[in-house]
Amino acid sequence: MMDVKFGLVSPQEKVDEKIKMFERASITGELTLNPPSIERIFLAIDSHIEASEISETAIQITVALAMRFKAEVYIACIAPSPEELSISERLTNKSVKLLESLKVSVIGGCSIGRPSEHILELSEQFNPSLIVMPIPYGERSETFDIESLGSTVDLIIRKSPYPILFVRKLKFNPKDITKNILVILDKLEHLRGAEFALTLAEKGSTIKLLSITEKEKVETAKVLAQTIINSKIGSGVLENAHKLEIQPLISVMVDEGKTRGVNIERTYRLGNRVKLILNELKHKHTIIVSSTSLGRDNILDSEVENLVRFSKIPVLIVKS
Amino acid sequence: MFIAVFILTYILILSDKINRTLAAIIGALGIVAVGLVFNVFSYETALGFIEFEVLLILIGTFIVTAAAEASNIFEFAAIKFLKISKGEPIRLFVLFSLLIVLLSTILSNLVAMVIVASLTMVACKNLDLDPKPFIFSEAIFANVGGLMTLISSVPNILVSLVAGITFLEFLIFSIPLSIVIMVVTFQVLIRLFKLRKPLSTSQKADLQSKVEAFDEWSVVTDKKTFNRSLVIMTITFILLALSDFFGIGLGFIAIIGGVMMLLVSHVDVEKILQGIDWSVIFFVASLLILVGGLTEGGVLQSFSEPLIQLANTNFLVVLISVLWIVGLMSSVIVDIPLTAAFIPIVQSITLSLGSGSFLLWWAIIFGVGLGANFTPIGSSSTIIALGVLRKQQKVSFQQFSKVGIIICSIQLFVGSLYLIGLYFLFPA
Repeated sequence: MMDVKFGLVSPQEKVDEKIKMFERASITGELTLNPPSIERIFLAIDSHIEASEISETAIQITVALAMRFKAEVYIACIAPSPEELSISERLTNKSVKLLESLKVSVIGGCSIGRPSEHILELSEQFNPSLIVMPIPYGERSETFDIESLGSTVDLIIRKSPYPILFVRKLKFNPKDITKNILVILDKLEHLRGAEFALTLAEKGSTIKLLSITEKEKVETAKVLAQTIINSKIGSGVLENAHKLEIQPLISVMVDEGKTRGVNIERTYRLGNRVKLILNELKHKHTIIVSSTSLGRDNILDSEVENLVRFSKIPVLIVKS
Repeated sequence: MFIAVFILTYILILSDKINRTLAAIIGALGIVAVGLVFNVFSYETALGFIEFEVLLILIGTFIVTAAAEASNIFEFAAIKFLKISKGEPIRLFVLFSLLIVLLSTILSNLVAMVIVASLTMVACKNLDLDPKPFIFSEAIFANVGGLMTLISSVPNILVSLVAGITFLEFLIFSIPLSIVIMVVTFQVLIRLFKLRKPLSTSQKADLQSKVEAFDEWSVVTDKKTFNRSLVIMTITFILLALSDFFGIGLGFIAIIGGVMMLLVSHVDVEKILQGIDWSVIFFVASLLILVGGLTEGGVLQSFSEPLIQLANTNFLVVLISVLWIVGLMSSVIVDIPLTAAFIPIVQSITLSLGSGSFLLWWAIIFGVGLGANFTPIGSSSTIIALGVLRKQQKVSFQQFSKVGIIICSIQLFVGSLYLIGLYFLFPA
């Protein structure tokens, strides 16, 4: 077909971009961790919850992270109707002033429209290292996006390629959010989440790696092995196979943790994923990190969406 | 005067002193000015030189493929091909070469090469293979892909619309040659690069496990957009193939495909429209004016008179000569202006000799498509391929030329045999 240019990007840069994409698509050979840097933070506030305490918490977390990583901040309040615009403007101005007083580079803005659409559009323009979004507990979002048949949060989880930190009301100081990190790590595709956890962890922080083998999957595999290849495989063999699969990743995390002065704890569980994760959340974790491959989750009620919905602590979703 | 403007414009385009599109626009303005001053044609006639159908096809297919590219369909397909190869060198070699043929049929050679060469580098690193044979082969096969369909390259579109070749006719004439060329090229390249099958079962298992670690879904950012883009792209290509039956112009179908893609795939419309290579559109439009003016001025008729006489006595010699001359020239001259220059010459011969001489159009198409591999500068995709390879190892243009000259000569030889076969099937 015709000779296509790549806009402002040269073909060589495009090649580098594609090589990175394909490298991410394969996790083979020697595992090396590449924790990302946090250069730009996008605080996206859906005005339905902006007046609440949760938005204040999100701002405090953004301030703490921006100062620690010397990141630029972009604040956007999205009001679904013109009536709600004034509240958005007030909150944005207040946040911008606070960040400016702390000498953090910040841009703020308000807009009217469908929150999911605006947040996705703005994030594409800003290309953030992290999106911070306040949400209330137990609800996907107050705003239901009729046209796209999904809540704002669900749509953003599904469509945004950027890491998103969903924030809710905290029982601890927002500055301590990275003190006790729980990372769900039960397949190699979760590598990106683990890397992001390393970025967030400070010296002395704890990262707990939670690996779960689903009991139902083990049982199904046993039945399949028996019916298809007429071979009896014990549950232990299948569990061990799973442990072996993730062992290289856990080892490399432990090594990296030692180098960075971060405590790495490992927990291996067998059972129902949702129950085990919720049970784990009863411990004193300050943030939970989960990875998801965008575009492949079930449309309804994926694990990640449920985690965001029911977790009482902030949830960081990283796209693998 | 017409000849002077034409030659000056081509010198400007080929010398790269100023932007080639700007050079073509200046040339088009010059030729129109000459035509108007000497009362050779009117302004309205000059506007008619622009084949808007060509521009519509270019814009429409660009939108379809750019939107599909945004959903990473092609990257997904590339990883699928890698997995099907099971990591075995010869299978990988053949499949990646077929992949680049397939992608360059739909995309520009440049974009196809960026995708396939990037994955080749990553895959070869993981499989501990030397990427050179793979990249060289891809550079060669990218140009073969440009032969496959009417919309696979700008020269194909230009020639087909002037010659009245339909989408389906194009496939019927080009696919058999493309298949023969691919088979022959594979045989030569595999022997040239001494590729071998893996020795043991454990080696095979090791290679397979390495390619299985690639996750094709990880490159898909939105499954819904991915599925929609795939459906629209398929529909557009089916409609293009069936355009004859519907009696609808290819440009119209291409634009419908583009609009459907923008409507359904939820891509950023502004971004896709801004990304259209308007430079190519203006370049093609300007060349059409330039060549139209030249033809209207009667210059090319007198120039092609000796060729017409020769074709009258020995058509086969002219046919094969056009293939080789265009082929050799396309290794040093950009394909679009080269095609644009040959179109009026062949047009005057076919007008004089009648419809039986239609094979000359195919000589241009095959010549432009197959000749680009003689030198690394013959096509942008080869330059990119060597650039990618140079990141990892030293590779000179001469190294590629050695392979390129052998393959290109064989391909042009096969093309000649094919044209001779067609000549006896459809005698002039």
